[in-house]
Amino acid sequence: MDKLQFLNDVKLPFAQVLGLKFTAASETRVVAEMVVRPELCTRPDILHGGAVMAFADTLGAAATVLNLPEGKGTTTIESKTNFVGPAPVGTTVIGETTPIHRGRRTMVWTTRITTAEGKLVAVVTQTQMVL
Amino acid sequence: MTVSSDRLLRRTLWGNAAFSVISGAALAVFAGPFARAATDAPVSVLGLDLAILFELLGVGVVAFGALCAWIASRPELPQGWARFIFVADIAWVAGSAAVLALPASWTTAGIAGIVVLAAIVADLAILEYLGLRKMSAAN
Repeated sequence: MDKLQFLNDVKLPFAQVLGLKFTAASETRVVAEMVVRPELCTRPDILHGGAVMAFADTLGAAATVLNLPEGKGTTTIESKTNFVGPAPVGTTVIGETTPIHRGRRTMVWTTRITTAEGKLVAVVTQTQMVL
Repeated sequence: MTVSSDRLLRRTLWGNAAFSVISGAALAVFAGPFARAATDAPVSVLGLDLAILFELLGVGVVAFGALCAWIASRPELPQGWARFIFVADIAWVAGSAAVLALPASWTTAGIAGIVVLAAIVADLAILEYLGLRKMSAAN
């Protein structure tokens, strides 16, 4: 099955709550987008930091899944976020995940989150353990 | 985010399904010969002849196997049903021990049959336990 179709077909309940949609997928690059809905915002109406982290976490885990040997699972064991700028309600954020390290026991991914206009929102670095 | 693997549990359930359907069908079809080989003297439980009991048990085991196959074939493996299968397998092993303790005149072949089946079911239960633990450990 095509990797992009696979990621979009696997029903991750929380990703569905976020409204996350994968737009590109390979072993070394995963891209997804998400509309900043009011229920994902803090006050004022900008994307909540937790939603930013959840968005990135989902991408990092998805990228790991594309690199897992058959029968293996994964879990996030570390995540670090730099919040750089706001993403206002109604805009679309785009996350692009690329690898820093892809090992047998752990994988480290960095996710750049930008607005559709290219303005940087956050940079997330996370470590995934291979289970 | 955590993505756990259900491969071990799924494969074990498929194995349980195959084993249950085959052994259950054999038990139902050859209930008479099995009943004669298992005991030295005729045995009845709650007024039912042992052969009839084996036949009913065989049909039940086939249905159990079908349930295992249904669970294993779900796109998202239902852990509640998988736990039910695990508990049922443990109950089978405990039941086998209880049956052997009954004051019935089991033949060596009868005892061997009960013990071998219980050992296989116990192995399946262990694999199911490990599979369930692997799925939940990551959550």
